[in-house]
Amino acid sequence: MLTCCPRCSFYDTCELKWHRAERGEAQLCCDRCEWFDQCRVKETEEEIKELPAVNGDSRVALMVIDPFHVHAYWEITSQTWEKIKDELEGEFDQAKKVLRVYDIAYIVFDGANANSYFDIYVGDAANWYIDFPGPEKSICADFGLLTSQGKFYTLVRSNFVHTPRNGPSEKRE
Amino acid sequence: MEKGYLCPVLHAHLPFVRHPEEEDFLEEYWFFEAVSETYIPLIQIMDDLIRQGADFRLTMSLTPPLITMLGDPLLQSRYLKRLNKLLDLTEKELVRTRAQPEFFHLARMYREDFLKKREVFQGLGGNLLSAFKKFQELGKLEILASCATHGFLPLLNVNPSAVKAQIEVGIDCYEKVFGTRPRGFWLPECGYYPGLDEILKNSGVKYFLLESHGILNASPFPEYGIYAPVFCESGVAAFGRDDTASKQVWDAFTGYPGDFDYREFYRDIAYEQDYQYIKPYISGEVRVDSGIKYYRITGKNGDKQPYNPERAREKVAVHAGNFMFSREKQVESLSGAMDRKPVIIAAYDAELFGHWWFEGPLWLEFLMKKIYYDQQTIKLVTPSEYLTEYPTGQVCAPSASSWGEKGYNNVWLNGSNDWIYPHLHTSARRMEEMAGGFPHAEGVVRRALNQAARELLLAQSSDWAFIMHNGTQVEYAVRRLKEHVGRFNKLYQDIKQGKIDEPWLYWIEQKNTIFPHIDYRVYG
Repeated sequence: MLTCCPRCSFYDTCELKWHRAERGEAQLCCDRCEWFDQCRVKETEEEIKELPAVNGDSRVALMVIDPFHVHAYWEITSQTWEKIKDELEGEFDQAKKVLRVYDIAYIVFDGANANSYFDIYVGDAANWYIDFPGPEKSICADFGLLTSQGKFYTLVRSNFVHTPRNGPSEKRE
Repeated sequence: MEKGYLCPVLHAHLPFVRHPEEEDFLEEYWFFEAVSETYIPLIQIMDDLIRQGADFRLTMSLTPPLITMLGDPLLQSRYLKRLNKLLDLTEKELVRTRAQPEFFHLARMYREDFLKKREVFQGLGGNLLSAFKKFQELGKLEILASCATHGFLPLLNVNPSAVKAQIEVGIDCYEKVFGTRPRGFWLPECGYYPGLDEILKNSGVKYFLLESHGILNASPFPEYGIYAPVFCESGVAAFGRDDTASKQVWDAFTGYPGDFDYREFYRDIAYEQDYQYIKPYISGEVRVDSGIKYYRITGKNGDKQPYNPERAREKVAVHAGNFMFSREKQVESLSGAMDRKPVIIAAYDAELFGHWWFEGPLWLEFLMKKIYYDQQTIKLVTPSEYLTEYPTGQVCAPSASSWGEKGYNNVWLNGSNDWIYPHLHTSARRMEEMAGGFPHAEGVVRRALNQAARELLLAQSSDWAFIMHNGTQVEYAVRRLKEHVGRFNKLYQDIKQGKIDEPWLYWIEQKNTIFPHIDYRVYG
């Protein structure tokens, strides 16, 4: 917070300031001062630069890097963690954090009909560079928990992405 | 009668850097240097060509951040102040080098050069946009629109509305400045993914340009490769950049700019003279290029010889001739195998010309003159003219691609910059949410929503990710990213809580003057 400063034209005479001191409160800057807005804007501009670690919603997103690589990042809120903890009860502590990557070429993916999938044990990472088996793949990923019994709980599902072709098309007219 | 076409394309862009709160700001020098070394010289060569009656065609993108800076009175006056200071320095250089003839005549060359630049700048009332507009109206220059803030679309498309807004706000800016709808669109970094053509089509775009493999890897296989545009299912045409023509110019080892007779970029007097001498001409305590450079590249190693403008000029003529000859040969070998005249797209960053490659603008002028006067095999063309002659062609789906290192998205997404995307995507999602939640906002809420859209767009500039990857001036890029996302976050919270911090809003509106007419509902 901004404190009173001698730049203010009321600095020597301001009663508010003296009152505050008498009450043992901090001598805060207030809008009687002609510098108030300017100082506060400056302070606000400093404060806003601290970006939050998690942005509010639970989600996982995929972005294509090149024909062989896809990047995934995820953010899971504490509410989502609480919910899954309740659901899994005793199994929660043993469950592993997993990114499940689905091949969804030529299908309308419903969560259970992927052509194939593989799991990445991501530990405490918040993002992952996925070495994908190859170009021209359609993929989607779930971030979730895999229990010691082998049951997978999806926390969030990603967008769908398509890796590019890596050379000329074989299709000719 | 010509057998084929050459289409030179220059992509002109700088990130929006404007700091009214500081007297002197280091990163604003990027703009000052580009104005002096690239944009004014390009105007000079186009004026020369017109004066001499040499018909030419050039295609150029001018991105909205650059358009805004070129038209901004504050930056114009700061540029003039900078140029006047440098003129002062050239005068001092005449005195300092008076006993060194090999440098003295160069000092004089710079002085005359800077005086001419000032004449051009003042002749245009400080606004270079009017010159580009004039060249376009004369039919010599075709200006391409581009994204609002050079957003790299393949990494923003997690939120489709973010892509749409980058395109629509960019086109809107173009229309306001040039008084006409653009036909062509420059995709930042040539970044493309399948489906993007649909969004461009909806904005009225007729064509865009891609890196070679975007076309060569299209499906079905494009019969004429990159030498004729393909048409997406949506009907939008896609031209492919020619690899050979590109490499001859920009390749770090074999390209023309590395010729030993050309001027050495890295030997600026700003770094070589005593601190006391150079102090009045730098930014705070940081030495910045003056543009006064006395050496030629000379060789691969450290020892440099003085620059010889006559020798460089002769080399420019040789290189322009060589480039033209290569294109003629290319066209001759292609023309028999095609049912139409081939078109060669030679696309480069505009700032290569003049800023990095001092002789670049002269090379371009020589090339255009030679093509006009010295041969009949090739003719210069703009993509629009080509499409008028050949309005249809093979239908293909171009492949995802970019002109970045390795041809895809890794420059803008790697360990140095991946942390920015969760922020950019969240902000875009929140912007959509607000546009939906406030379909008819008025007054201060509307202002706050419009400012949120501006801050989001500014955060999305591909420049920040690029600088983080490149490793120079990273601190500034990080700061800018955090500022824009941070302001967006505060605006989002304030709007949601119905408590808008008006003095602060006013302050950031004054600071980021880009897109004065933006309508946040573009995210709706």
